[in-house]
Amino acid sequence: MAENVKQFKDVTITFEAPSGGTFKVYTDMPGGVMTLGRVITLPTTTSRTEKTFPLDNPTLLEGKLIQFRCESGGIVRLLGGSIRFRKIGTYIDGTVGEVWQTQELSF
Amino acid sequence: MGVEYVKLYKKLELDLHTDQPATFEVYTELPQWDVRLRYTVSVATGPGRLPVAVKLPGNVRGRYIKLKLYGAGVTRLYSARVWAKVTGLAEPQAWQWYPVPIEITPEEYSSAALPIQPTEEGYAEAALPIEPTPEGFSEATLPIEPTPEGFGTAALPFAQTDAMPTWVEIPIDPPE
Repeated sequence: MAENVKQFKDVTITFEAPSGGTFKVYTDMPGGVMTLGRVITLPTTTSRTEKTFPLDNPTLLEGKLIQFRCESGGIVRLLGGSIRFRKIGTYIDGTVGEVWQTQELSF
Repeated sequence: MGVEYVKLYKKLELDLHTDQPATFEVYTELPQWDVRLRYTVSVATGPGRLPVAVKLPGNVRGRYIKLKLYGAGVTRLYSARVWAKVTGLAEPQAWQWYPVPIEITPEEYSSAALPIQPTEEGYAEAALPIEPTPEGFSEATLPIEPTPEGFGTAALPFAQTDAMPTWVEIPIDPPE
């Protein structure tokens, strides 16, 4: 059973992007391999802008690890950012053969 | 109640989210005094999180119950509980829910900062490389040879006459 798997709700970025940009999010679950999960389009802005982008549509992005990549044909000034997440109590990754099983319980 | 009493298990409730149908198995140690598989069911939730009720056959009983969940896809298990009652007591016991010990998934989300070097809101100040001009004025001496206030002494170009006469020997011839 995979431990310390997080569900990522959304990401908030403060930025200036006179030519716009792309913000990519990678996670490692399921399967344990870093995979591109979301491609976020940064709108063109010439002033400091803060925007929150959902990561729960169509499903919550999940992973033990998360990685970000920002690309643009011009300049992007990343001024700050944060991500909201929660740890999943019990995450069973069947793609790698994981099984959840209790001990013999006696109530 | 502990291990000394046999419980009758009627149903389970699972709060979960499966990407693909998963297999849920229930094990107890009675009647063979050996923990064996008593019931198997396929559980699936579709695209989101759902509570799933699993009704057990009427003969699932034991001091112990063991649960197993697995499948080909990802399954997130948020909670599980068992509807059971203690048997074998003179006083009939009521059915009640027993929670299965599962690590809790918080309802709320925490926030973490992205590793972006912070940009200060304000601006710092730096001086331009311009030689500063002092507010007051400095004093400098003009290139004129100074004239002393007093008078100097200079010797006239005459030969010096001694103050005292000097003895001179005059040669006088002796008398013949």
